[in-house]
Amino acid sequence: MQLLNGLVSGAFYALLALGLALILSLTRIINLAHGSFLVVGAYIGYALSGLVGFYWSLLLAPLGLALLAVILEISIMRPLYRRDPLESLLLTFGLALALEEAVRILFGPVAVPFRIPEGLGSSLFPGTSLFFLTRYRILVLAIALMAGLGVYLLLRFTRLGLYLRAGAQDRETLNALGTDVRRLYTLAFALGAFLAGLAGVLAAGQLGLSPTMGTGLLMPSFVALILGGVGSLGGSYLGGLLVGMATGLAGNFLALASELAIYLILVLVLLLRPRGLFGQEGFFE
Amino acid sequence: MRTWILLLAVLLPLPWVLKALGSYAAIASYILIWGLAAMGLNLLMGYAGQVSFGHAAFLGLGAYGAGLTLKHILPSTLLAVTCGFLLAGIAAALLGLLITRLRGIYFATFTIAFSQFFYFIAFQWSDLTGGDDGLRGFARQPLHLPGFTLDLSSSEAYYYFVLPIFLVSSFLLWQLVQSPLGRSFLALRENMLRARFLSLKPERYLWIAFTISGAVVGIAGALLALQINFAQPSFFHWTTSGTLVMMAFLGGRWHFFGPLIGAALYVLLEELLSSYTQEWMLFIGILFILAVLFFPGGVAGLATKRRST
Amino acid sequence: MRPILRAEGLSKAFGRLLAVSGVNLEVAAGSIHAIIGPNGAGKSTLFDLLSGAKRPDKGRVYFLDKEITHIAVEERIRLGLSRTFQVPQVFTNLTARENLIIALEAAHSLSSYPWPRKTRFLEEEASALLERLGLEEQASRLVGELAHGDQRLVEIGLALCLRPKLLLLDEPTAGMSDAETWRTVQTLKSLHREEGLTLLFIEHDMAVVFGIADRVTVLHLGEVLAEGTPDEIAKDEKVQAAYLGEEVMAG
Repeated sequence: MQLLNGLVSGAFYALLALGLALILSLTRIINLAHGSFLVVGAYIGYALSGLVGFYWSLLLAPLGLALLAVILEISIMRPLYRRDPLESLLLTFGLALALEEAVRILFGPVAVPFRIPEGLGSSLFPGTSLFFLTRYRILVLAIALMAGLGVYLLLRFTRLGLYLRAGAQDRETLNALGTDVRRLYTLAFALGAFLAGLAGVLAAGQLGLSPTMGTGLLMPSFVALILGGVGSLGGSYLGGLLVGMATGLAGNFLALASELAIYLILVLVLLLRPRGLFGQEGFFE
Repeated sequence: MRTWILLLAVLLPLPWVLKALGSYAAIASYILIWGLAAMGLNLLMGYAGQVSFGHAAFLGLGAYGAGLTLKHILPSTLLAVTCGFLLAGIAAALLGLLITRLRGIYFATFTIAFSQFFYFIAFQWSDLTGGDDGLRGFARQPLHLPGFTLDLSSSEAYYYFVLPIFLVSSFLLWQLVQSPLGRSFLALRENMLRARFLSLKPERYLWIAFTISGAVVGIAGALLALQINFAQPSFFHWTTSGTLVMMAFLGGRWHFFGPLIGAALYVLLEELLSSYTQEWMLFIGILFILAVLFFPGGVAGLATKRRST
Repeated sequence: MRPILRAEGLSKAFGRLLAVSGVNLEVAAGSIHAIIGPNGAGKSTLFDLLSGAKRPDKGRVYFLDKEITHIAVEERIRLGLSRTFQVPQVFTNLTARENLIIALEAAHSLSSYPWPRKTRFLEEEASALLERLGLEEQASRLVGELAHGDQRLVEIGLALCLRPKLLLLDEPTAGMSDAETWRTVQTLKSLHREEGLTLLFIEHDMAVVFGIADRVTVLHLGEVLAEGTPDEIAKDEKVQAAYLGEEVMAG
């Protein structure tokens, strides 16, 4: 069923959308460089996998990306928190351009294949109608699920998560209570980048690597964010999965329909339920 | 008034100045084309206060509109520009209806989306658009004026076709921003709530600003296609939209001619950097970041603190 | 004399918070009517409902006997309603004069006119208004740079341009020095006198309330607690208890 296949794409969208939502709800910044984060994460994974193998790079690449994101956040994003939101938006745009070009310089403009471990490529159910369910795809789903769960547990049951949720609701109060909100922002970026990097490495194994792999995944993630509802982290995650399934389903009928489905979803949401499925009223009027 | 005379003085001999500096004449046209596009976008961004990352859609529509007109309808340059303008303007009017209720991230996402949507269409509908290879097989035609014919094929000659169009368009924009309608846009930028409480319906004025800005960018798109006798899907890409935003920002979005300055800067920089290195995009990206951090008012903002109204 | 503004059973909830509950209000034409109440009483929300910034869950609003409950803000303004806000809502990066010109253009339905030069005659109107408000000196200064009291006056000026019959003022003297408060109150009094403007205002400064209000409505926890002349309200025990309760909680 194309639906399951779509779910795998949905996994990527969900991870990206969740990262975007984390950054957005805390820092109010629309991270246009998120797609580039994914690309950088993928290439770090590519570089690492030669050294430490696939599974380790799956853990270390996102961490490396998170570190990079923290450095970037502290150096260039901090000054902009008090300023016109357009400026942070433009900054992330400039960052997106620079990162993508940097990747192109370091690794070349041509698509590169990413070798996944033997055996992962083979199907779990050969000869049946579920033959396309390779072990790799199961892995993607499993990791996306674990990541989503991990973030949920972090937010729900840790002190850190409490601060993150509080900060997403009301930064002024949190500031007044003496918490260093800036560290929360850094954390939000780190976490968002980690998820993007994870998605990147996983996507590389599925689609191969190219400097432009980010854009194709970024747009659906934005739509997922809108679908889930701005302000709802769980909604963004779910939105990603739904967008994935919708595109998978649409792709069943016509190859091009899967991309059209994304635009259709966006238009429908904006016309029928602008707040998205779980969005809060007035969050981003 | 003085500004216009100065502008004319700078722009009239531009191709020759550039050639004297070691560059080439077509750059002059690019400056005007991207300048017009950035100024069109700035009507929405700097004056009405809404950022669109989707205006490349109108650039592309103007370009493909012009190209397709020349290919399939009539070999008339003027008609091509007009059709490009109309196609972009009508699309802007229709899209505007959908989005004027949106704000913040919803607005931004939708603009990125329609930019990519047209990119997708241009890519896939290859029968009409030539797909990834782009639209070819058309060229700017000589201009048939009463009494004589102007051959536009040289870059210099084409520049003197682009120049009056640029001047007329920007003059009309100038009149617009000085008018009550222009002030209504400012009201939107400064305080949408207060505008509403003065009986100015923000949705309506945003729609007007959006439509006009899209149409102007469409003119630029048509001129662009005719400059290189080619149109490609990347014209529609959201990163092209972002580049337009950056041009307006770099030059100074609070000033009328700021975007023109920004476009000139970008075109000249790109020309300069790409002759030294293949990785010029990296430097552009870094430049953007530095500009945002240290020069948020743009070049024009360095000259005068006061925003133009 | 029919009331210029009438509200019946207005209610508005935000999630589980009932901000306004069953509020009835009548504002007599030509009067100066104050709405007071402890913090969180729902006063600003009530203003939002009356001005159209929000829609009520229940109840109706009538302006000049016409029901306006679900009419858009822009149309209410055209009908003769106007409003100022707790934080002055003005066009910050434009001069005081430019602010007023925009409002005057809106008043004369010229806001969509795409050519310049048509509105020179408005310059005179703007100058007259600036003088009226005592802002001639500040006319060419950016409103964002003006003192708080002057910003408030610009805002009142903006609200006046549309020739309202009823002006809603949300804490017009908030954050003002005594001198600024006095000046604002004097301006409001003269406007009321000269234009026959009905004023409905939210206030915390009791001196202002007792100074100019004809009638006072007291709101507490979203409901109308009492209504009457300032003297009647001053003596009302329920009102005293409500305010005292607030002090006890704060102390």
